[in-house]
Amino acid sequence: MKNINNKNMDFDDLLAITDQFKPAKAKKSKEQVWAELELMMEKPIKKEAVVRNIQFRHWQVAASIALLISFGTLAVFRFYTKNVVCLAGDQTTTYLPDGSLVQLNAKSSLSFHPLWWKIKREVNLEGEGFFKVKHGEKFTVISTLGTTSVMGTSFNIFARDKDYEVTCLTGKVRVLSLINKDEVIITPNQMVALNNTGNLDANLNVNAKLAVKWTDGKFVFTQKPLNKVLAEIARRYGVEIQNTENLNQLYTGNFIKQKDVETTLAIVCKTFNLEYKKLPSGAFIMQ
Amino acid sequence: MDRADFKLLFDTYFDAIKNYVFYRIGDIDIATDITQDVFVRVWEKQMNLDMNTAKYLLYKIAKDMLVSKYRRLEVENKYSTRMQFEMTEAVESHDLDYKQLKLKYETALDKLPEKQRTVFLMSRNEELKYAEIAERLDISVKTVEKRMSAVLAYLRKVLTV
Repeated sequence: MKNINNKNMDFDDLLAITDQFKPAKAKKSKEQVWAELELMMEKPIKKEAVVRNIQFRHWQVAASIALLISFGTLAVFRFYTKNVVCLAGDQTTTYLPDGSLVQLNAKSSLSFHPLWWKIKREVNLEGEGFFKVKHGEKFTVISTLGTTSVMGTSFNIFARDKDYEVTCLTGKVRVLSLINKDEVIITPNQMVALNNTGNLDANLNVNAKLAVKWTDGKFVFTQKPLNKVLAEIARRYGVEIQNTENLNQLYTGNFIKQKDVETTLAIVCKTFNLEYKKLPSGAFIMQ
Repeated sequence: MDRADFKLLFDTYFDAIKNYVFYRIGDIDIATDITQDVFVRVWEKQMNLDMNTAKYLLYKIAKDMLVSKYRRLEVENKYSTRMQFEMTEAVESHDLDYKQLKLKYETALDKLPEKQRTVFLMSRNEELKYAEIAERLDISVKTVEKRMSAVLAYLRKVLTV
Protein backbone atom coordinates (compact mmCIF):
# COMPACT_ATOMS: atom_id res chain seq x y z
CA MET A 1 0.00 0.00 0.00
CA LYS A 2 1.24 3.33 -1.00
CA ASN A 3 2.09 5.52 1.91
CA ILE A 4 1.04 9.11 1.85
CA ASN A 5 3.14 11.60 3.55
CA ASN A 6 1.68 14.92 2.75
CA LYS A 7 4.82 16.82 3.35
CA ASN A 8 6.88 14.82 0.96
CA MET A 9 4.37 14.46 -1.80
CA ASP A 10 3.89 17.16 -4.29
CA PHE A 11 0.58 18.83 -4.93
CA ASP A 12 -0.12 17.23 -8.30
CA ASP A 13 0.13 13.76 -6.79
CA LEU A 14 -2.21 14.70 -3.98
CA LEU A 15 -4.64 16.15 -6.44
CA ALA A 16 -4.46 12.97 -8.48
CA ILE A 17 -5.55 11.04 -5.41
CA THR A 18 -8.37 13.40 -4.52
CA ASP A 19 -9.51 12.97 -8.08
CA GLN A 20 -10.44 9.46 -7.09
CA PHE A 21 -12.89 10.69 -4.48
CA LYS A 22 -16.36 10.57 -5.88
CA PRO A 23 -19.60 11.99 -4.48
CA ALA A 24 -21.09 9.82 -1.77
CA LYS A 25 -23.87 7.51 -2.90
CA ALA A 26 -27.35 8.84 -2.47
CA LYS A 27 -29.95 6.81 -0.63
CA LYS A 28 -31.96 6.79 -3.80
CA SER A 29 -30.38 5.34 -6.90
CA LYS A 30 -30.83 6.58 -10.43
CA GLU A 31 -33.01 3.54 -11.15
CA GLN A 32 -35.27 4.33 -8.23
CA VAL A 33 -35.63 7.90 -9.38
CA TRP A 34 -36.56 6.73 -12.86
CA ALA A 35 -39.12 4.32 -11.42
CA GLU A 36 -40.73 7.17 -9.56
CA LEU A 37 -40.67 9.33 -12.67
CA GLU A 38 -42.40 6.55 -14.61
CA LEU A 39 -45.13 6.46 -11.99
CA MET A 40 -45.42 10.20 -12.30
CA MET A 41 -45.78 9.91 -16.08
CA GLU A 42 -48.75 7.53 -15.71
CA LYS A 43 -50.76 10.21 -14.00
CA PRO A 44 -52.46 12.77 -16.19
CA ILE A 45 -50.61 16.03 -16.22
CA LYS A 46 -52.74 17.85 -13.74
CA LYS A 47 -50.38 20.28 -12.11
CA GLU A 48 -50.35 22.38 -15.25
CA ALA A 49 -54.13 22.30 -15.41
CA VAL A 50 -54.38 23.41 -11.81
CA VAL A 51 -52.02 26.29 -12.45
CA ARG A 52 -54.07 27.36 -15.42
CA ASN A 53 -57.24 27.10 -13.37
CA ILE A 54 -55.89 29.48 -10.79
CA GLN A 55 -54.78 31.86 -13.48
CA PHE A 56 -58.18 31.57 -15.08
CA ARG A 57 -59.81 32.33 -11.76
CA HIS A 58 -57.57 35.33 -11.31
CA TRP A 59 -58.52 36.42 -14.76
CA GLN A 60 -62.19 35.91 -13.98
CA VAL A 61 -61.95 37.86 -10.76
CA ALA A 62 -60.17 40.67 -12.57
CA ALA A 63 -62.75 40.63 -15.32
CA SER A 64 -65.68 40.66 -12.94
CA ILE A 65 -64.18 43.48 -10.91
CA ALA A 66 -63.56 45.43 -14.11
CA LEU A 67 -67.10 44.69 -15.22
CA LEU A 68 -68.53 45.74 -11.87
CA ILE A 69 -66.57 48.97 -11.93
CA SER A 70 -67.63 49.77 -15.47
CA PHE A 71 -71.27 48.96 -14.76
CA GLY A 72 -71.07 50.95 -11.57
CA THR A 73 -69.59 53.91 -13.39
CA LEU A 74 -72.14 53.53 -16.13
CA ALA A 75 -74.94 53.41 -13.59
CA VAL A 76 -73.63 56.54 -11.89
CA PHE A 77 -73.43 58.30 -15.24
CA ARG A 78 -76.84 57.04 -16.25
CA PHE A 79 -78.78 57.62 -13.09
CA TYR A 80 -77.09 60.54 -11.41
CA THR A 81 -79.95 62.99 -11.35
CA LYS A 82 -80.11 66.68 -10.75
CA ASN A 83 -83.40 67.91 -9.32
CA VAL A 84 -84.58 71.46 -9.39
CA VAL A 85 -87.66 72.07 -7.26
CA CYS A 86 -89.55 75.29 -7.18
CA LEU A 87 -91.91 75.67 -4.22
CA ALA A 88 -95.29 77.35 -4.23
CA GLY A 89 -95.01 81.12 -4.07
CA ASP A 90 -91.61 81.07 -5.72
CA GLN A 91 -89.99 81.14 -9.16
CA THR A 92 -86.63 79.74 -10.18
CA THR A 93 -84.24 79.91 -13.06
CA THR A 94 -81.89 77.07 -13.90
CA TYR A 95 -79.52 76.10 -16.69
CA LEU A 96 -79.29 72.77 -18.46
CA PRO A 97 -75.85 71.25 -19.20
CA ASP A 98 -75.88 72.66 -22.73
CA GLY A 99 -76.49 76.19 -21.46
CA SER A 100 -80.21 76.25 -22.19
CA LEU A 101 -82.24 78.33 -19.76
CA VAL A 102 -85.29 77.07 -17.92
CA GLN A 103 -87.56 79.27 -15.86
CA LEU A 104 -89.75 77.37 -13.47
CA ASN A 105 -93.06 78.68 -12.27
CA ALA A 106 -94.31 78.15 -8.73
CA LYS A 107 -94.74 74.56 -7.52
CA SER A 108 -92.87 72.95 -10.39
CA SER A 109 -90.01 70.52 -10.55
CA LEU A 110 -87.43 69.68 -13.15
CA SER A 111 -85.00 66.77 -13.23
CA PHE A 112 -82.35 65.58 -15.66
CA HIS A 113 -79.22 63.40 -15.85
CA PRO A 114 -76.30 65.81 -16.30
CA LEU A 115 -73.69 63.06 -16.88
CA TRP A 116 -75.87 61.25 -19.38
CA TRP A 117 -76.69 64.48 -21.23
CA LYS A 118 -74.28 63.82 -24.11
CA ILE A 119 -76.03 60.54 -24.88
CA LYS A 120 -79.65 61.37 -24.25
CA ARG A 121 -80.95 64.85 -23.75
CA GLU A 122 -84.03 64.38 -21.67
CA VAL A 123 -85.63 66.58 -19.07
CA ASN A 124 -88.50 65.65 -16.81
CA LEU A 125 -90.91 68.40 -15.99
CA GLU A 126 -93.89 68.52 -13.68
CA GLY A 127 -95.57 71.89 -13.45
CA GLU A 128 -94.90 74.87 -15.63
CA GLY A 129 -91.67 75.91 -17.23
CA PHE A 130 -90.43 78.23 -19.91
CA PHE A 131 -87.53 76.86 -21.96
CA LYS A 132 -85.11 79.01 -23.90
CA VAL A 133 -83.07 76.42 -25.72
CA LYS A 134 -79.61 77.32 -26.90
CA HIS A 135 -79.41 77.45 -30.66
CA GLY A 136 -78.65 74.12 -32.27
CA GLU A 137 -79.30 72.05 -29.15
CA LYS A 138 -81.92 69.39 -29.25
CA PHE A 139 -83.65 67.75 -26.35
CA THR A 140 -86.86 66.28 -25.08
CA VAL A 141 -89.00 67.37 -22.17
CA ILE A 142 -90.98 64.56 -20.62
CA SER A 143 -94.03 65.07 -18.44
CA THR A 144 -96.63 62.62 -17.24
CA LEU A 145 -99.00 63.23 -20.11
CA GLY A 146 -96.82 64.29 -22.99
CA THR A 147 -93.35 64.88 -24.33
CA THR A 148 -92.04 67.86 -26.20
CA SER A 149 -89.05 67.63 -28.53
CA VAL A 150 -87.31 70.80 -29.44
CA MET A 151 -84.48 72.19 -31.48
CA GLY A 152 -83.08 75.64 -30.83
CA THR A 153 -86.25 77.28 -29.73
CA SER A 154 -88.18 78.74 -26.85
CA PHE A 155 -91.49 77.50 -25.57
CA ASN A 156 -93.64 77.19 -22.49
CA ILE A 157 -94.96 73.97 -21.00
CA PHE A 158 -97.82 73.77 -18.56
CA ALA A 159 -98.11 70.26 -17.16
CA ARG A 160 -100.29 70.02 -14.07
CA ASP A 161 -102.89 67.46 -13.06
CA LYS A 162 -104.94 66.78 -16.19
CA ASP A 163 -103.63 69.74 -18.11
CA TYR A 164 -100.87 69.64 -20.63
CA GLU A 165 -100.28 72.73 -22.71
CA VAL A 166 -97.35 73.72 -24.86
CA THR A 167 -96.94 77.15 -26.35
CA CYS A 168 -94.27 77.86 -28.90
CA LEU A 169 -92.52 81.26 -28.99
CA THR A 170 -89.74 80.66 -31.50
CA GLY A 171 -88.55 77.74 -33.62
CA LYS A 172 -90.40 74.50 -33.96
CA VAL A 173 -91.75 72.17 -31.29
CA ARG A 174 -93.00 68.63 -31.63
CA VAL A 175 -95.51 67.58 -28.98
CA LEU A 176 -96.39 63.96 -28.35
CA SER A 177 -99.32 62.80 -26.27
CA LEU A 178 -98.27 59.91 -24.06
CA ILE A 179 -101.89 58.78 -23.80
CA ASN A 180 -102.54 57.90 -27.43
CA LYS A 181 -99.32 58.89 -29.20
CA ASP A 182 -101.02 61.78 -30.95
CA GLU A 183 -98.35 64.07 -32.37
CA VAL A 184 -98.50 67.74 -33.34
CA ILE A 185 -95.79 70.07 -34.60
CA ILE A 186 -96.29 73.70 -33.73
CA THR A 187 -94.52 76.84 -34.83
CA PRO A 188 -94.35 80.31 -33.22
CA ASN A 189 -97.58 81.69 -31.81
CA GLN A 190 -99.26 78.32 -31.80
CA MET A 191 -100.17 76.18 -28.85
CA VAL A 192 -101.46 72.70 -28.19
CA ALA A 193 -103.48 71.45 -25.28
CA LEU A 194 -104.35 67.91 -24.34
CA ASN A 195 -108.09 67.26 -24.29
CA ASN A 196 -110.04 64.69 -22.29
CA THR A 197 -109.69 61.95 -24.92
CA GLY A 198 -105.90 62.22 -25.00
CA ASN A 199 -105.77 63.98 -28.34
CA LEU A 200 -103.87 67.17 -28.84
CA ASP A 201 -105.93 70.19 -29.79
CA ALA A 202 -103.90 72.77 -31.61
CA ASN A 203 -104.71 76.46 -31.38
CA LEU A 204 -102.96 77.94 -34.35
CA ASN A 205 -103.28 81.60 -33.51
CA VAL A 206 -102.35 82.69 -30.01
CA ASN A 207 -100.24 85.46 -28.60
CA ALA A 208 -97.49 83.27 -27.28
CA LYS A 209 -95.92 86.10 -25.33
CA LEU A 210 -98.92 86.10 -23.04
CA ALA A 211 -98.23 82.49 -22.09
CA VAL A 212 -94.88 83.43 -20.59
CA LYS A 213 -95.97 86.63 -18.89
CA TRP A 214 -95.61 84.76 -15.62
CA THR A 215 -91.86 85.03 -16.04
CA ASP A 216 -92.29 88.80 -15.67
CA GLY A 217 -94.46 88.41 -12.58
CA LYS A 218 -97.75 88.92 -14.37
CA PHE A 219 -101.02 87.03 -14.41
CA VAL A 220 -102.54 86.48 -17.82
CA PHE A 221 -105.77 84.52 -18.14
CA THR A 222 -107.69 84.08 -21.34
CA GLN A 223 -111.06 82.36 -21.09
CA LYS A 224 -109.87 80.30 -18.13
CA PRO A 225 -112.22 78.46 -15.75
CA LEU A 226 -112.17 80.31 -12.47
CA ASN A 227 -111.03 77.27 -10.46
CA LYS A 228 -107.87 77.05 -12.55
CA VAL A 229 -107.32 80.77 -12.18
CA LEU A 230 -107.58 80.46 -8.41
CA ALA A 231 -105.32 77.40 -8.43
CA GLU A 232 -102.67 79.41 -10.25
CA ILE A 233 -103.02 82.29 -7.78
CA ALA A 234 -102.72 79.82 -4.90
CA ARG A 235 -99.50 78.40 -6.35
CA ARG A 236 -97.95 81.73 -7.15
CA TYR A 237 -98.53 83.05 -3.66
CA GLY A 238 -97.99 79.74 -1.93
CA VAL A 239 -101.36 79.81 -0.20
CA GLU A 240 -104.33 77.50 -0.06
CA ILE A 241 -107.69 78.40 -1.58
CA GLN A 242 -110.55 76.09 -0.71
CA ASN A 243 -114.00 75.39 -2.10
CA THR A 244 -113.16 76.25 -5.73
CA GLU A 245 -114.33 73.02 -7.38
CA ASN A 246 -117.62 74.36 -8.73
CA LEU A 247 -116.36 77.70 -9.98
CA ASN A 248 -116.40 77.13 -13.72
CA GLN A 249 -117.02 80.68 -14.88
CA LEU A 250 -114.57 81.71 -17.57
CA TYR A 251 -112.22 84.50 -16.62
CA THR A 252 -110.13 86.76 -18.78
CA GLY A 253 -107.75 89.16 -17.18
CA ASN A 254 -104.29 90.54 -17.29
CA PHE A 255 -102.65 92.11 -14.29
CA ILE A 256 -99.38 92.47 -12.43
CA LYS A 257 -98.80 90.20 -9.47
CA GLN A 258 -99.64 92.22 -6.40
CA LYS A 259 -97.58 92.03 -3.24
CA ASP A 260 -100.55 90.85 -1.31
CA VAL A 261 -102.60 87.82 -2.22
CA GLU A 262 -105.77 89.45 -0.93
CA THR A 263 -105.47 92.31 -3.40
CA THR A 264 -105.22 89.81 -6.23
CA LEU A 265 -108.14 87.79 -4.92
CA ALA A 266 -110.17 90.95 -4.68
CA ILE A 267 -109.45 91.80 -8.32
CA VAL A 268 -110.65 88.41 -9.50
CA CYS A 269 -113.63 88.06 -7.16
CA LYS A 270 -114.96 91.47 -8.02
CA THR A 271 -115.67 90.34 -11.58
CA PHE A 272 -117.99 87.60 -10.41
CA ASN A 273 -119.29 89.24 -7.23
CA LEU A 274 -117.79 86.44 -5.21
CA GLU A 275 -116.69 86.64 -1.62
CA TYR A 276 -113.94 84.92 0.25
CA LYS A 277 -113.00 84.52 3.86
CA LYS A 278 -109.65 84.13 5.46
CA LEU A 279 -109.43 81.19 7.79
CA PRO A 280 -107.36 81.20 10.99
CA SER A 281 -105.00 78.70 9.34
CA GLY A 282 -104.12 81.30 6.67
CA ALA A 283 -106.09 79.50 3.95
CA PHE A 284 -108.88 81.20 2.00
CA ILE A 285 -112.32 79.82 1.48
CA MET A 286 -114.66 80.88 -1.34
CA GLN A 287 -118.27 81.54 -0.54
CA MET B 1 -42.19 15.29 -25.61
CA ASP B 2 -42.86 11.54 -25.61
CA ARG B 3 -41.61 8.97 -23.14
CA ALA B 4 -38.72 7.78 -25.31
CA ASP B 5 -37.34 11.32 -25.58
CA PHE B 6 -37.82 11.83 -21.89
CA LYS B 7 -36.03 8.61 -21.05
CA LEU B 8 -33.11 9.60 -23.26
CA LEU B 9 -32.92 13.00 -21.63
CA PHE B 10 -33.01 11.42 -18.19
CA ASP B 11 -30.32 8.83 -18.97
CA THR B 12 -28.04 11.42 -20.49
CA TYR B 13 -28.28 14.17 -17.92
CA PHE B 14 -29.49 12.77 -14.62
CA ASP B 15 -26.03 12.16 -13.16
CA ALA B 16 -24.57 15.40 -14.46
CA ILE B 17 -27.40 17.46 -13.00
CA LYS B 18 -27.37 15.55 -9.74
CA ASN B 19 -23.64 16.09 -9.34
CA TYR B 20 -23.93 19.73 -10.25
CA VAL B 21 -26.51 20.24 -7.51
CA PHE B 22 -24.37 18.20 -5.14
CA TYR B 23 -21.30 20.32 -5.88
CA ARG B 24 -23.24 23.35 -4.93
CA ILE B 25 -24.93 22.19 -1.76
CA GLY B 26 -22.87 19.18 -0.65
CA ASP B 27 -25.76 16.88 0.27
CA ILE B 28 -26.23 14.06 -2.17
CA ASP B 29 -29.74 13.14 -1.02
CA ILE B 30 -31.05 16.65 -1.36
CA ALA B 31 -29.26 16.84 -4.71
CA THR B 32 -31.05 13.68 -5.86
CA ASP B 33 -34.43 15.04 -4.78
CA ILE B 34 -33.87 18.33 -6.51
CA THR B 35 -32.76 16.61 -9.70
CA GLN B 36 -35.84 14.42 -9.65
CA ASP B 37 -37.96 17.56 -9.30
CA VAL B 38 -36.17 19.07 -12.28
CA PHE B 39 -37.24 16.16 -14.46
CA VAL B 40 -40.75 16.15 -13.04
CA ARG B 41 -41.09 19.78 -14.03
CA VAL B 42 -39.76 19.13 -17.53
CA TRP B 43 -42.38 16.40 -17.97
CA GLU B 44 -45.28 18.26 -16.44
CA LYS B 45 -44.64 21.40 -18.41
CA GLN B 46 -44.23 19.22 -21.49
CA MET B 47 -41.28 21.33 -22.54
CA ASN B 48 -40.25 20.67 -26.09
CA LEU B 49 -36.55 20.38 -25.55
CA ASP B 50 -34.25 19.39 -28.32
CA MET B 51 -31.17 17.53 -27.20
CA ASN B 52 -28.79 20.30 -28.19
CA THR B 53 -30.28 23.01 -26.02
CA ALA B 54 -31.68 20.73 -23.34
CA LYS B 55 -28.64 20.64 -21.09
CA TYR B 56 -28.49 24.41 -20.78
CA LEU B 57 -32.15 24.50 -19.79
CA LEU B 58 -31.79 21.59 -17.37
CA TYR B 59 -28.96 23.35 -15.55
CA LYS B 60 -31.00 26.51 -15.49
CA ILE B 61 -34.03 24.77 -13.99
CA ALA B 62 -31.79 23.00 -11.48
CA LYS B 63 -30.22 26.29 -10.51
CA ASP B 64 -33.62 27.93 -9.94
CA MET B 65 -34.94 24.98 -7.96
CA LEU B 66 -31.81 24.80 -5.91
CA VAL B 67 -32.09 28.44 -5.01
CA SER B 68 -35.67 28.08 -3.80
CA LYS B 69 -34.90 24.82 -1.99
CA TYR B 70 -31.74 26.26 -0.49
CA ARG B 71 -33.65 29.24 0.77
CA ARG B 72 -36.27 26.99 2.28
CA LEU B 73 -33.64 24.87 3.97
CA GLU B 74 -31.84 27.89 5.22
CA VAL B 75 -35.03 29.18 6.75
CA GLU B 76 -35.73 25.83 8.36
CA ASN B 77 -32.21 25.90 9.72
CA LYS B 78 -31.88 22.17 9.28
CA TYR B 79 -29.04 22.31 6.93
CA SER B 80 -25.30 22.39 7.28
CA THR B 81 -22.99 22.12 4.34
CA ARG B 82 -20.81 19.06 4.44
CA MET B 83 -19.24 17.73 1.33
CA GLN B 84 -19.51 13.97 1.43
CA PHE B 85 -17.13 12.05 -0.77
CA GLU B 86 -16.37 8.38 -1.14
CA MET B 87 -13.17 6.80 -2.20
CA THR B 88 -13.34 4.75 -5.34
CA GLU B 89 -12.06 1.22 -5.13
CA ALA B 90 -8.71 2.21 -6.48
CA VAL B 91 -7.94 4.20 -3.37
CA GLU B 92 -10.15 2.28 -0.94
CA SER B 93 -8.06 2.14 2.13
CA HIS B 94 -8.14 2.21 5.85
CA ASP B 95 -4.90 4.00 5.86
CA LEU B 96 -5.02 6.92 8.21
CA ASP B 97 -3.23 9.18 5.77
CA TYR B 98 -5.84 8.58 3.10
CA LYS B 99 -8.57 9.34 5.55
CA GLN B 100 -6.79 12.46 6.61
CA LEU B 101 -6.36 13.58 3.06
CA LYS B 102 -10.04 12.93 2.35
CA LEU B 103 -11.06 14.94 5.39
CA LYS B 104 -8.80 17.82 4.42
CA TYR B 105 -10.12 17.68 0.90
CA GLU B 106 -13.74 17.68 2.05
CA THR B 107 -13.19 20.49 4.50
CA ALA B 108 -11.38 22.53 1.87
CA LEU B 109 -14.18 22.06 -0.65
CA ASP B 110 -16.70 22.92 1.99
CA LYS B 111 -14.95 26.19 2.67
CA LEU B 112 -14.68 27.15 -0.98
CA PRO B 113 -17.12 29.63 -2.43
CA GLU B 114 -19.94 27.69 -4.03
CA LYS B 115 -19.30 28.99 -7.54
CA GLN B 116 -15.62 28.07 -7.48
CA ARG B 117 -16.34 24.64 -6.05
CA THR B 118 -18.96 23.91 -8.69
CA VAL B 119 -16.65 24.75 -11.57
CA PHE B 120 -13.76 22.83 -10.04
CA LEU B 121 -15.77 19.67 -9.40
CA MET B 122 -17.44 19.76 -12.78
CA SER B 123 -14.01 19.84 -14.31
CA ARG B 124 -12.51 17.15 -12.04
CA ASN B 125 -15.38 14.71 -11.65
CA GLU B 126 -17.39 15.15 -14.85
CA GLU B 127 -14.25 15.59 -16.91
CA LEU B 128 -15.85 18.41 -18.79
CA LYS B 129 -13.90 20.88 -20.89
CA TYR B 130 -13.88 24.52 -19.79
CA ALA B 131 -15.96 25.47 -22.80
CA GLU B 132 -18.52 22.82 -21.90
CA ILE B 133 -18.71 24.00 -18.29
CA ALA B 134 -19.07 27.58 -19.45
CA GLU B 135 -21.93 26.58 -21.71
CA ARG B 136 -23.79 24.60 -19.05
CA LEU B 137 -23.48 27.30 -16.41
CA ASP B 138 -24.12 30.10 -18.84
CA ILE B 139 -20.88 31.87 -17.97
CA SER B 140 -17.79 32.74 -20.03
CA VAL B 141 -14.76 30.47 -20.48
CA LYS B 142 -12.60 33.18 -18.93
CA THR B 143 -14.68 33.01 -15.78
CA VAL B 144 -14.26 29.24 -15.64
CA GLU B 145 -10.49 29.62 -15.95
CA LYS B 146 -10.39 32.24 -13.25
CA ARG B 147 -12.39 30.13 -10.84
CA MET B 148 -10.30 27.03 -11.56
CA SER B 149 -7.01 28.73 -10.85
CA ALA B 150 -8.41 30.23 -7.66
CA VAL B 151 -9.45 26.78 -6.43
CA LEU B 152 -6.12 25.16 -7.33
CA ALA B 153 -4.22 27.89 -5.52
CA TYR B 154 -6.34 27.40 -2.44
CA LEU B 155 -6.04 23.59 -2.50
CA ARG B 156 -2.30 23.81 -2.98
CA LYS B 157 -2.10 25.90 0.14
CA VAL B 158 -4.34 23.65 2.22
CA LEU B 159 -3.39 20.15 1.11
CA THR B 160 0.38 20.47 1.14
CA VAL B 161 0.66 21.80 4.66
